[in-house]
Amino acid sequence: MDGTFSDSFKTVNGHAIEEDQDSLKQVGSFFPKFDSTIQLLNQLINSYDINKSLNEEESKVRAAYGQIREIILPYLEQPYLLDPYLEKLILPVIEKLRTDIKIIFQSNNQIELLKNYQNRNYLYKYLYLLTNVRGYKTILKFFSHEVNDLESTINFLVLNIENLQYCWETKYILLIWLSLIFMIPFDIKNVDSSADNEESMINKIMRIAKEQMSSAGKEQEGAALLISRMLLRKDLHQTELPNYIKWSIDQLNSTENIFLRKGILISLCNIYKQGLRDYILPLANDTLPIIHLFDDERFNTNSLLKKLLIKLAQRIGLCFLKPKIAKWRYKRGNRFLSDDLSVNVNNNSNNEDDDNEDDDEEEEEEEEIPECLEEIIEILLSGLKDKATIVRWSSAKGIGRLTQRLSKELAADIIEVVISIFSENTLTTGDSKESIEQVDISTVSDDTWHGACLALAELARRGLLLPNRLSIIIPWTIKALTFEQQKGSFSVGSNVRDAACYVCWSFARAYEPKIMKPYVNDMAKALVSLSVFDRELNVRRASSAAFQENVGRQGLFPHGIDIITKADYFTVGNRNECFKTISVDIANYEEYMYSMINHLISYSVIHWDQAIRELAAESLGMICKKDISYTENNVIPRLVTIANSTELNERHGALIALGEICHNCYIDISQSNDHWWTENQLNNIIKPISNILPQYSTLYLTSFGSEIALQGICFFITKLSEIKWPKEETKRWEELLLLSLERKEIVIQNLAIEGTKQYYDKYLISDTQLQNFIGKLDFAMDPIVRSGYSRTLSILPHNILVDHNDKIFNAITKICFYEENGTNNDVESRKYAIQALTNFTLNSNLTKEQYYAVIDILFNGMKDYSIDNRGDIGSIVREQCMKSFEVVIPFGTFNDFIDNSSLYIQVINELLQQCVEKINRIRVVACKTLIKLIWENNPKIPDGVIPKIELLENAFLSGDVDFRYVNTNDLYERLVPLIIIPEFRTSILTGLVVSVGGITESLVRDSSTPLLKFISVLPKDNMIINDFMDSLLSIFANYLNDDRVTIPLLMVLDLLLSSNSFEKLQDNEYYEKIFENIKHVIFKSKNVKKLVPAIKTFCGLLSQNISETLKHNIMQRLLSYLVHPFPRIRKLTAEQFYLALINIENKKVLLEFNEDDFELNDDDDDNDNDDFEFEDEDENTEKAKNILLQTNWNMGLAQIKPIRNSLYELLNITPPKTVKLNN
Amino acid sequence: MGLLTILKKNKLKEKEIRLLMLGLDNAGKTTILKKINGEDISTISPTLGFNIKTMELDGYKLNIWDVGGQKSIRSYWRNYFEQTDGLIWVIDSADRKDRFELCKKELLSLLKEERIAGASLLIFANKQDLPSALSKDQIQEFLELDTIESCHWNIQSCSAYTGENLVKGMKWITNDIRSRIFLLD
Repeated sequence: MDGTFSDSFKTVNGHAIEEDQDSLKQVGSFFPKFDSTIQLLNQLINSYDINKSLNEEESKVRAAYGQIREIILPYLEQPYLLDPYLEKLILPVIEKLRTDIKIIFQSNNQIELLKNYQNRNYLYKYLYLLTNVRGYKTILKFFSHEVNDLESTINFLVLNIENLQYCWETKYILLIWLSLIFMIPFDIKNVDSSADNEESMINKIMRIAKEQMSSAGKEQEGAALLISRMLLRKDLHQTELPNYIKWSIDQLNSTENIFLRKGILISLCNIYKQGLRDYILPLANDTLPIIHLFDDERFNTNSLLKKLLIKLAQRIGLCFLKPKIAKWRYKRGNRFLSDDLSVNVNNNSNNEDDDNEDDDEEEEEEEEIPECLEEIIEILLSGLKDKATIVRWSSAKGIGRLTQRLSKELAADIIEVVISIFSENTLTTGDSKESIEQVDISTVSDDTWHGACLALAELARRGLLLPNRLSIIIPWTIKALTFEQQKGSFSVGSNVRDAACYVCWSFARAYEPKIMKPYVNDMAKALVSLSVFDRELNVRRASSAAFQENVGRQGLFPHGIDIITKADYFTVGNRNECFKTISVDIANYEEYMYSMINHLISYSVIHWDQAIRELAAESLGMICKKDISYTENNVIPRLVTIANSTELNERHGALIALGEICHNCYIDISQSNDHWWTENQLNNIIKPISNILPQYSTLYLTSFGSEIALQGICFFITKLSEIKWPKEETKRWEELLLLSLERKEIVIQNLAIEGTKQYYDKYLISDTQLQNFIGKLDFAMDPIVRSGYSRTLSILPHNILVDHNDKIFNAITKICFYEENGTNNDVESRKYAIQALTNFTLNSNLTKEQYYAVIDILFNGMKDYSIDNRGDIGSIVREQCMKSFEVVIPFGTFNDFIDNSSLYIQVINELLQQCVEKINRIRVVACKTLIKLIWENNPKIPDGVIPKIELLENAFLSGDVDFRYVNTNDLYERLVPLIIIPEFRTSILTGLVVSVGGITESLVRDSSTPLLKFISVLPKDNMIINDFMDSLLSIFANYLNDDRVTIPLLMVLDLLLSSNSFEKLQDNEYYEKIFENIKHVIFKSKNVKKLVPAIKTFCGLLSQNISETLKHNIMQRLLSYLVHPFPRIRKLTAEQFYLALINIENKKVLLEFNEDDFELNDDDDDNDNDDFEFEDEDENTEKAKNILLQTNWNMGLAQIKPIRNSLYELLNITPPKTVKLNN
Repeated sequence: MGLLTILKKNKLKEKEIRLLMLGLDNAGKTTILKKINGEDISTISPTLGFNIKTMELDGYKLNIWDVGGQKSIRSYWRNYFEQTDGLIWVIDSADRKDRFELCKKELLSLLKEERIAGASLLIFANKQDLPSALSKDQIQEFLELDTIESCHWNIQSCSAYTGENLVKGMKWITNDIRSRIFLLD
């Protein structure tokens, strides 16, 4: 055993040495952080001394370990890249661990040292990390395995387990380490130093390992490994192995501990995998009963246990059979590369001769097959149908391995059973290709088929599927390629299709071209369809890979390379592309076209996923165009049948497919010829298709699923109207369109509008119908109905609109208006009305007067801030209005309707305000519209109309920014500077106030920063702070009664005051105006959201440079809020007022200080007077401050009032007339 | 556990290696492939399709993909079941100057492809039996191979016609790959 180990070790190191140095140029490295890892590792190793307890170091060690982990973990994907460095990564750690263990055992105070040693867990954690990333087998090979390690490690392990509770990594590493050390080739008794009366080393280990085996963690696996390695020792197996097996069986039958069961099974699997046949064969019959636990209810509910049982069954089975590779298997024959190329030309045909010779030898080898093998194979076969993937996969591998050791006849039986799994639960009529194609698979289980596919692939890979079985296997595989079952709202089977692709891939590799030749065509067609039409990405990729493998190995079949380059791993990633481009492209090859059409009709058009049905219809339309006569004779009749099906999905899919196909096939001819059909087409194509809708049951149109049916119908009518379907064959169309138009689902309404547009474009609308439509545009109608008809009216053919211009115009405008608190205030329908009005404006011939009416409606819509439980829902109206401006304004410019440039300015103002408001979606639309109007549209806004256009250009166009993705920070940085333009100032500020005074923290931050910055650099370019104040005041004036603006405005004022933005403001009249406005805004208000910023603003004003009168008035106000009915307001007022007083004081001190400097020559008397007054005032203020601070403002008003009243005197404020001081 | 993990594990167990054979047209790719596969090389016409040949070397199964003169070789980089482990770039050592320029350009753009980072690169300086052939050192210098840092590479002079050094090159790339992927097996 030892020998094997060192041998493998030598190859590792030997590689580089043996290698011709000249030819080995290794540039770069796959482990660039190696050096820093080693550094960290050294930190870890040297971080402390085993003799000292240095717990404070732990955080440092943990950090180092964390860094190493960060470096190593990414290698999980390709762990072998670490291999060249493993030795250096592991050996120093092992060295350190060994010395530590020695020190511990030489010491007298083992327990104490062990406690210090807990820190050293990080070294074990590190080793565990490596095993986790690279696998324990590889890592273990670098561990030391000397005889004198054995006893100390065992004792250390025992110590650890008895004393340390939580270090599972330590236990795991120690266990697997022991499993390695136990492979020393000496008799274990010789190294056991335990005294006779002590527990022997073996028993100790057995006891500990058995204990650990029932743990739930990783140490369980370590223990199982240790036990199996130990029991398989030459000197132990005879005595210990039978006992262990017996113990295992007892435990498995009796224990309720699920972890112990798992641990025991792992250990048994290890034993039967690694054990020499001589050791384990005698015990196989005794172990065999365990596998019947597969049906035991204590086991069969747990997939992991079942998988282990399957594994065990397989291993026991293999143990019964002599290891050999079936001679009868099919060998493709790989050439062996050897050094003398010049000699062996043309001798690889030898392989084929070998095949024949093998057959002769066959009969000689008749080995006795133990009967129990049948049980094993039965369990493996039933495992193929298990509901857990891991169990099925384990079974498939087991079957492959066992079959390899069986005689040809027995193997044939197994393969027969695997094949028969496909036909389980079906009514199979025979083994021919045709009958397999016809099989109904709705009753089979997807698990079963998946398992069968895996088993087939396993068998094929090993060459165990002889070519004569392919004629039946391949049809089943191709059937599996399209496996899908619907289960309620989801479907299963993509795993079956994926596995079937794997089978096809394995076939391509396993067999020679001449064997695959009869099947390659069918397979290629199926794979091509799958790789472009499957719903699931992994299946499309699997299929394209299988196809590629077939093309590469099975020789040239039609256009293989072209298809590989068109539908490769990357391109099949995008499903839309697959259906719309790649498939249409591939269909140019006739060899695949018809099978693709067939796949689309059979699977995709009737798919359960509506998105797939729609894509399939589109794809089918484009592909069918390539062969119209085939389409007319084969495709359309099939689809007509499906369209009359009772299944909703089939009906819907077929209907839209027919729409697409007819549209694609006849659009060209119908453009040049109104009466394009032949008699034959009328009877065989048009009539059957036209008959579908009249036969639709009303149930389909009203019950569950009708929304899908109607979508299909509208689409169908649209497509057929476009190609001028014969008028007399359009029965029921108008009725169905109008029905859809009145549906509440907006998807249907949109499709219906498109349908009516096309329909009335080809088949004229009657006057009565038109009157009917106009009649629906009334607030009395349901908003949805109103929206549907208004939009439909607006897109009727131009001549109709012109003929009824005024009537329709009046009808639409009527429903556009916004009525505050009106009962008809439905926002959605107003949005659609405005949309309709916009369409109408563009499609009809408006008078100038009417045009201005439209503009007025749009301006009116921009003021729509309706709110419902969805929040600012008026935003959708504003959004629509902006989109309308985008087209209506250029239209007006073009038609010379706009004779006053102030209209442009007004529009820009509206847009700029929206550009900085708080909803991102609206900001984006506003910015885009503005850019279109000013710079991109044709015609754009005339030159010279917009003032300071260079500033706008800088804000919107510089840096080529896409406003859809711009972050708010950048956006406000760009737009706030535009406040400098007087014409736009108030609009921008109005929008900005709402953002700055909003409640979203990030938005407030991003918008307020540029604003404060802007104010701080004033005056600039003729703008002074007074202009800014004027603007603010005008916003007050405009929105005095609108909380939407005033509340944020108060917040903004508070922000500006507290950030000292008004420092430069000389004119204190503004403060009075602000005070007056606020007074007005909060008059009689009980809205706390409003009062809070108002009070804060008042207090902020106090510390500004304001007149004494104003100060007095404000304080008077504040004092009245101290007795507000809401305690919260009282408290806030007291707090803010207190702070304001402190502020004023500080200012005064500063002022005095300045006065001392400059006003030394002032009249002495005056000075004295002042001083005296100040002192007196100061004292009072101090008292007032104390009252404000110390009063409990939560008390009842009756208690508070006298306290408040005392403040009037202290602060020298005249009480308002209503306040009676002496109550 | 999906099918892909299963396959990945299988590939390692079965010691399979996937190699992609590339180079300008007429560099001798198919001739090399046929030669090492022991086939007749007297009649070889430009490769229209592509071939996958499997052969064994030192217990490893090499799946060699001869992509021929495909315009787009991107399709072969990666597929659902496997990833490319190594690239064999074949050069006609007796080619014209402008073709060498082209060759250099193609090779550099190939190495920029992120998906092959980590794959081993073997460059066959083919047609050494022709008198006008450049030596491998000259080619190495011209192609500025020493600047390559993204992968393990090696250049090997050879002749597909005589078979000289072909196996040596194949051994290098197999060894290099197995030292990366199959270490310790």
